[in-house]
Amino acid sequence: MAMFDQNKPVTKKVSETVVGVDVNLTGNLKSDGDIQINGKVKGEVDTKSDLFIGDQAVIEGSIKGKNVVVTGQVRGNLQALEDLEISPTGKVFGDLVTKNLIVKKGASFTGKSTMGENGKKELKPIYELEELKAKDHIKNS
Amino acid sequence: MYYFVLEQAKNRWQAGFQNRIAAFLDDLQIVGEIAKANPIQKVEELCQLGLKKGYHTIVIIGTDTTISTLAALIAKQGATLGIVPIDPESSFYNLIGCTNWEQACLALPKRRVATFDMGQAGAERFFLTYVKIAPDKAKKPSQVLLEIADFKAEVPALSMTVANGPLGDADSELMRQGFSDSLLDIYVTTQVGQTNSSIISSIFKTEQKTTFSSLFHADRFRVSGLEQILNVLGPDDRILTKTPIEFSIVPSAIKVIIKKSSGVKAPVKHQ
Repeated sequence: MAMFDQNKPVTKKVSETVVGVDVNLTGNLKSDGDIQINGKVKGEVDTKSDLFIGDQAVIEGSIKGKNVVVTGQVRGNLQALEDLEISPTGKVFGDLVTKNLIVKKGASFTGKSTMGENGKKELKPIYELEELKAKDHIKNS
Repeated sequence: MYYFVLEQAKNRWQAGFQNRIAAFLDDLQIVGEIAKANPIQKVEELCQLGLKKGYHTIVIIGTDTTISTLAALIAKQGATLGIVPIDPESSFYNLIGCTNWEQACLALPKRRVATFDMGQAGAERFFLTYVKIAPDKAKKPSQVLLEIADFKAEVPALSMTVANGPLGDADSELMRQGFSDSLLDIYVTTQVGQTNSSIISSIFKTEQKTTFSSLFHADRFRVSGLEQILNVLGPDDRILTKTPIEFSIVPSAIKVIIKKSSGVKAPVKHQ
């Protein structure tokens, strides 16, 4: 977990948001910059940049990001435009949509994964996906 | 024409230091008027007097709290602020791109002006650099409620810093743009580094490391102490106000004279 040292210059590319350990956050967290979560979040997390979910983090809610690394626990759907990595300590209970999925040894994942084009495919309820598949099947035949 | 406002000297050393600055400014041959605060005329009155006289540039020679207080008055009148900090550790050096008072004086006649945001704490307090939020005596973190945009965060905090721009040395254009990004940065400190005890630190004059555990950005937010009322302090630790309090940013609030080679695009304009 990266900590900020007051003595060091704070390098700001785009605003980085850090939710520390022992922080309880309720509501929707949206940012254009990178987000690092080490605490508890109940609600949506949405960033146009990268998202790092620390090993002590517990998130209940849907997640969107460009590149997402999960080393903590997520209960909710997860969407990554580029890469989605579940690290050995990571636990995901929900559906995933991403361009590239990396699941490391020891990681836990319960849900459905979709390798959408650029991870832009929106997550839909399972029955809708089944209907779409059936329509495609009829068209092709 | 510049109007120089000097704080009332607290002691002989400070009076001597002020005379040195005045002599240095005299050598630079900047045309203007010097007003020194005294027990009858406070700095605020002198500043207002200068604005009434029609001066468009007010130069404050003083501590961080005085500069912050007068900056709000100057911003309201649309005048330009010149800054000569007297505290060697002043947070304003970061803003103007200087490292000492001599550089700050030398920047004045070159008159490179940048427009910066100002932070607002409550209805009446304004700040250009940062304020701190902390209880009277903090030995362990206490719960603080942060209400920002669409979320609420309960945060254990030993202290917090609400900054208009970067806290480190803003030695690049990119970093100093933090003072005009229309956002306040909220740093939450949960612990002070344990590498040196305070006694050892004071004996050997080693600095204790302060680490930030959370960092948020917002243009408006509210802070409340859940366990106790917290103080809002200026950069020089003077109590300005108390929690609960709402903070907001006033974009492009003030024109400030900065060091010419500091690389800031001047003036910075916002939509």
